[in-house]
Amino acid sequence: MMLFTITLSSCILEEGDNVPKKTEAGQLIWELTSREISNNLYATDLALKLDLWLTAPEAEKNQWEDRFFPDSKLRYSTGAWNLTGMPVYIYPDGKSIHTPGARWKVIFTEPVFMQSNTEFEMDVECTDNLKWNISNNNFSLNIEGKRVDSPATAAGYIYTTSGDGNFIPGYYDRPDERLTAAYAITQSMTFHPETFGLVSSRYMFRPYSGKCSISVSDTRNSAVNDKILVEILSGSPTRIVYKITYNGITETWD
Amino acid sequence: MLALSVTMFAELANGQVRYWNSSRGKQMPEAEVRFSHGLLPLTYDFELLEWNWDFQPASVTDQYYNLQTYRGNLYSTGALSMGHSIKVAKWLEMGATLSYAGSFRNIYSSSTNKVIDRETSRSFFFTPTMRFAWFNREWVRMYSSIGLGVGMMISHPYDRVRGEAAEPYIEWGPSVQLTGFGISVGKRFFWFSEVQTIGTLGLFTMGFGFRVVPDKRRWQR
Repeated sequence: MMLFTITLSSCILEEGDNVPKKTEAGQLIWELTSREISNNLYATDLALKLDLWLTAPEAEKNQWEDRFFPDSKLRYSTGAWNLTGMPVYIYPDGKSIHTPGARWKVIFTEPVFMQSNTEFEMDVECTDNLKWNISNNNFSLNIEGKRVDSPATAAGYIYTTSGDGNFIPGYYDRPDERLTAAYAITQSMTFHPETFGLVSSRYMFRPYSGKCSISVSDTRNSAVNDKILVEILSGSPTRIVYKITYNGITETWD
Repeated sequence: MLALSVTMFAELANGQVRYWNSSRGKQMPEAEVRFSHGLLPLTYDFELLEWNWDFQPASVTDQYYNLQTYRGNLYSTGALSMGHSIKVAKWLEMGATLSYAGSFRNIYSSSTNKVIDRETSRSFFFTPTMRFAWFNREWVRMYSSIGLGVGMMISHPYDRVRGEAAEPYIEWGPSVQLTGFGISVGKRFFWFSEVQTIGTLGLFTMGFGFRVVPDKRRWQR
């Protein structure tokens, strides 16, 4: 009787966790890395769109403003352009940023979306026709732009990127993060703008092709040195398929 | 351990009878020993006590390390108890119960799906108990009871963020058992079950016991 009741009532108090994919930790870091690059491209895109508007014929300015900045007004004060409703300040150097040699500065006084930096500053330098280098102390990316034809998005360009950088993966309101991710784009990555939400002016850049390697370290544990390799197999607005190799184990994600 | 406990409690009851007879020259009151198993005992790792009232999402650091392992089902042994009591009045028994409740879960590596560690907790309770018999027949008794005592839990957790076993710790606390309805069927050897219960012995308890009834007339006073 005793054994029977023990068998009957010895029980599962709590179901176990869902079994994660073997590369899920790597996928988490890749998502944050692509978002980090996307944020840098978004900041660049604002500067490039501003320049397109500044250099547009007077008769076309309203048309460009409606297309590129549907929710903001452009305001100029003490050497910087501000988009109303956004914590962004763009500092031109007197030359069009589409002119080789021009160097502009972009400052976000608050996070763009959800990122680790509470304040963000970067330089945009035109290196060639539709080619720029964007950089700050944490990254340096060479990008090539291709104009976006579709008026469905407020983005100015599709970007092909190469370069490297590092960042602290995390959310801006969590200062206790201690991981560092160092990424290197090993095969040029193409980032396409995708609108999110119902407002076409809100967009972010998502990778549709290319390869990236990431090293993860922990500031409090020198033994941590995890390797992540990402290869984008295919990309479209509805589906991005990519392969992640995390510490030697490879899985496909979409 | 179970055999040892059975022997110990049986000897205790017999010893009481012998001592009572020899020292006072009259029959001792009825005594009994019980062995039971309770479902879902309350222990100090009860989820409500561990509830995280911080609604912030976990940091990326914590998420990253947590994804490298995952936890299996949490199993419980239930509460294995043994008790001894003496009938001090027709309607009242007084005694004490010793209980053990264990729980464990495996920790698996996400990359290999192999067990890399195990979290365990072992709880021990000592619960003096008063049992009120409100239906009293020779073969069937129905009762309610209340118990209050002390307990301790030895816990061996696993720190998923650090990726290693965390420091074990011991927690002390009260042991409380409230039983709304209990029924026992039998005379010297009896079966019993308790429902409408809550506490360290479990939400639903079932077991058996031995009763020493030296003097039936005394039992009926």
